[in-house]
Amino acid sequence: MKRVKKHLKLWITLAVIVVLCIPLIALNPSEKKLRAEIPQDFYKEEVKKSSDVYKDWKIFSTLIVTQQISSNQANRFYVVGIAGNTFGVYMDETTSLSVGGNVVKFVANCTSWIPNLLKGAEITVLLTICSVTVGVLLSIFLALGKMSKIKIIQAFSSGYIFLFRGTPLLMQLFFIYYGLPLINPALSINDRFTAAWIAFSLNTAAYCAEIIRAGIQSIDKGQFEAAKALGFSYAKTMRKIIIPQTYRRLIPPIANEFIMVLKDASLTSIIALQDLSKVTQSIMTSTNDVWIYLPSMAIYLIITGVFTKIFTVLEKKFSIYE
Amino acid sequence: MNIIKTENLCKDFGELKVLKDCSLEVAQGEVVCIIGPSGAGKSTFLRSLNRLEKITSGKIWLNDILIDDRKHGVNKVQMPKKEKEALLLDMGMVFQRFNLFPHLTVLENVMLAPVEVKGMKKEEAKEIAKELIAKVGLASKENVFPSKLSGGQQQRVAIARALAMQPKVMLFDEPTSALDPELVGEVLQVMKDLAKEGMTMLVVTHEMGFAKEVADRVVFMYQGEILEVAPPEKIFSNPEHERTRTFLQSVLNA
Repeated sequence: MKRVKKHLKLWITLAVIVVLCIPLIALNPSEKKLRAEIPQDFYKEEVKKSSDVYKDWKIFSTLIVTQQISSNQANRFYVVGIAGNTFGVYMDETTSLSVGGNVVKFVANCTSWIPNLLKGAEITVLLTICSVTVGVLLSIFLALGKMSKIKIIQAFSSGYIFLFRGTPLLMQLFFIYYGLPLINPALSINDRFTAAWIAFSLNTAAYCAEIIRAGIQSIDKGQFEAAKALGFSYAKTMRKIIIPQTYRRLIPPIANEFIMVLKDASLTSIIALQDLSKVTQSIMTSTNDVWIYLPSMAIYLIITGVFTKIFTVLEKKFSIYE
Repeated sequence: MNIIKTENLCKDFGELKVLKDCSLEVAQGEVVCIIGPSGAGKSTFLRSLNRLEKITSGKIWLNDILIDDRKHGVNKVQMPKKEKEALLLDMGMVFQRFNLFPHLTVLENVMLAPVEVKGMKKEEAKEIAKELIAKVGLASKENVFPSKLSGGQQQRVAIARALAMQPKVMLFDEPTSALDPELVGEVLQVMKDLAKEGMTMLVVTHEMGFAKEVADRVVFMYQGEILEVAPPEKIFSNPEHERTRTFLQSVLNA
């Protein structure tokens, strides 16, 4: 337990360090480059002078001090830096003059991106939780169905799993959202989230069914015999004896499936659901700033980290008897 | 009154005949031990009484009620499912490998079937379970999970679990074969106590000492057949069949 905790902290720290360091190294322009980017005449006249030019000092974001250079309202520049290190020059507070941006710009951009990203993350997480929950519930019946002695039920379950595991999720999503209304308008699902939810639940059910079937079949045959000898019906044997024993074994593969779904949720962008990936992509197209991927990926990492932790705790809880 | 009676019990696995015309009667209060070399069909015979194996042909009576009359695997007896299930509950079974429910504590293991199958109230089941656990000498282990118990302790819990359904007959399928030698005694002691109380018992065993001491009759099985049924004094001193003699010689001299 303690070791897992340590590892989790390590991962989160690593993620944060990566997020902070990459722009520092990659984006911090050299002073030479900066000078080249500031209009020459301006540089000569304003910057090269002494500190008495730097008038209104103000706190810009929480980290960095900007130095307002020009007093001319129409042509205002900001030089940004800490302790004599210049990080960037701005036309106004958000528009960068220097190509390639810099740390400050990145931090500033993040503060404006993150609320939108979090809204997307909320949809991603909600979709994943809802889909995996419904999927797992469905999959119990599918798994039992596949092991059933009744031919029709067995065939239905096998067929279902074959179909939904054998075709791309993207296509299933397409079919449910765009295809069904064309077949019959009554089948149209107007809410994008609901459509995605249905598609993901149906898909993940097929995968989880095989996980659960394997879990049930891994239980010692003696358990079924003991239950039978004590007079348990099939349903009660499953509910009270077999399935509770599978919990611990199921958690690792289900956690795996959960994380897969979390990332597959990015497929919903084809039906224009504003999930984390879609939001990231929209910001990318509108700002043309590749660094949007950093906070976005960091959010993904944090979400997966948190859920990995939750599943580890659950696994621990269900293995008390071992 | 016969608690169990079988007539011409046969069981085939394809070409292999595991049981050949096994007929046996077990009266109330009787302790019957089944001995024989491995592969003789002892366990299969026991398990077919309890429906863990389906017989191919033959008849089975429980409490003098015919519940199975099969030919080519088809049961000719028409009986409501509930009634048959109720009859089968009169048999408690103890397995070689204990088969305790690992996710439940000792107390929960013993309580589960009375509550879930018989619909007994939890409080009542708990009381009975506690009594039985104390009876097999594990009162201090009530809230422990099976994985924390020794094999002998697990088997005693398994006996208590079967007794909790208040069966009329107990079937033991090699109850001590999976145990370390020093743990065999404690399980046999519980079984002896049970026999003294008048429980009807059918025991597949390799413990000749137990058979000698406790059994009213000993059944010798060989290659799917019941070769000899006799009181222990007779079978251990003067068996009728040559096969019985050689088997006992090899076992007792080992």
